Amino acid sequence: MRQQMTRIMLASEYPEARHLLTEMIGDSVNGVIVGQAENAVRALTLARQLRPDVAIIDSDLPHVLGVDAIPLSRMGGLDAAQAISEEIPQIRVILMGNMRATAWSDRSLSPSDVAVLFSAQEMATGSPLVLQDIFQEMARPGTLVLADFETSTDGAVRRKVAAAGDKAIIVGGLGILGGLLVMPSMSLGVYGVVLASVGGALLLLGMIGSVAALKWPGASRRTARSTRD
Amino acid sequence: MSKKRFLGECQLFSSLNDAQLETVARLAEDKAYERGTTIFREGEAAEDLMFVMEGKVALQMALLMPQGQTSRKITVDVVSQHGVLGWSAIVEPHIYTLTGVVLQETKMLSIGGSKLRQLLQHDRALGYGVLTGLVKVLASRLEDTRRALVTERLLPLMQAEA
Repeated sequence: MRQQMTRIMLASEYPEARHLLTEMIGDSVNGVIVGQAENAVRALTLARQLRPDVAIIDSDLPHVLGVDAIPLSRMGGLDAAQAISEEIPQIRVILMGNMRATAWSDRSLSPSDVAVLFSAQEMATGSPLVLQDIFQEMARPGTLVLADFETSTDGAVRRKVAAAGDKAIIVGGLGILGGLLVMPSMSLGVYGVVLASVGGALLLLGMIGSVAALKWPGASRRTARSTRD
Repeated sequence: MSKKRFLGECQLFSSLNDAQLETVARLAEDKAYERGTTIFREGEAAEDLMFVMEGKVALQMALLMPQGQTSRKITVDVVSQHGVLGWSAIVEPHIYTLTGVVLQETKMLSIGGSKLRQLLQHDRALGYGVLTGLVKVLASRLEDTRRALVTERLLPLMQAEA
């Protein structure tokens, strides 16, 4: 018998954040995104219309769009989460605390780098959990949990290797260019050769690092283009 | 960072000198709250004045829905580092006017309301400094609230004109 897919609604103003969650859900959960909302009013409307199994809501959600510059008008996330949880108790609601900061912190962030750590008064846990675990944990109706993204240790190392590789490629390229420019000079030719050689070595190391980051277990590097909805 | 130094960076105590800050800091206790915790509820006795060292706390007001249905909670502010919670602990009738819900793991300095009120009554200069700071905090919140109210009322008009 085919397992029924979990119907999930996302609410965040930021397409990058919704995209990251969509990829995480695609990787780890037997779920389907049935709706996306950019503000609290829309989130409540969609929840009433679609009756998803799970609603994942960004705490930094505006009540309505168009008041971005007014901090007090950007506090719709908790309100929407509580309203949905109370009005439609069969929807399991997850309120994310750092959705925007996580999605914007590193454009090369992979869904496998990110776990979700959540706690509620009834369900405090110290271990990072993937979304699948949360969905299984939230069996009781009317559940509202608060959660944060956390980047995994492996992911942090992978991103550092990728960043170091990128820098080495740039510095190595500049070294080769500088060396080639200096080499023709009679007095500085030797230095030019050394500079170009060092540049070449750095370039090679950088390329190895970048390839290693790409091939890192579980990695799927996103480009800036892929973050756009 | 020492309690005295942290409190000196908070707007409520910005007018106090070193000796006054030292006196107030002696009353402060460290407290920590997990996310999702309700620290205080609207209508309860305001026992503590709190300052956020790390984390975020949402302040909510309950509104009775039309036709006497259950109330809906609306977030009216989110307090983060150096922000003050529970100023009702030093202002009569000492009843919390809002509900405080922890959004992120939060560490706070908490000062007992009754002890602080006794201190303010005993040391008039300190009392004046604290009330000066309180006026600044409330004026700032009033300004933020007005800006939000005006903008949200203006928005439907702008959208209708478009």
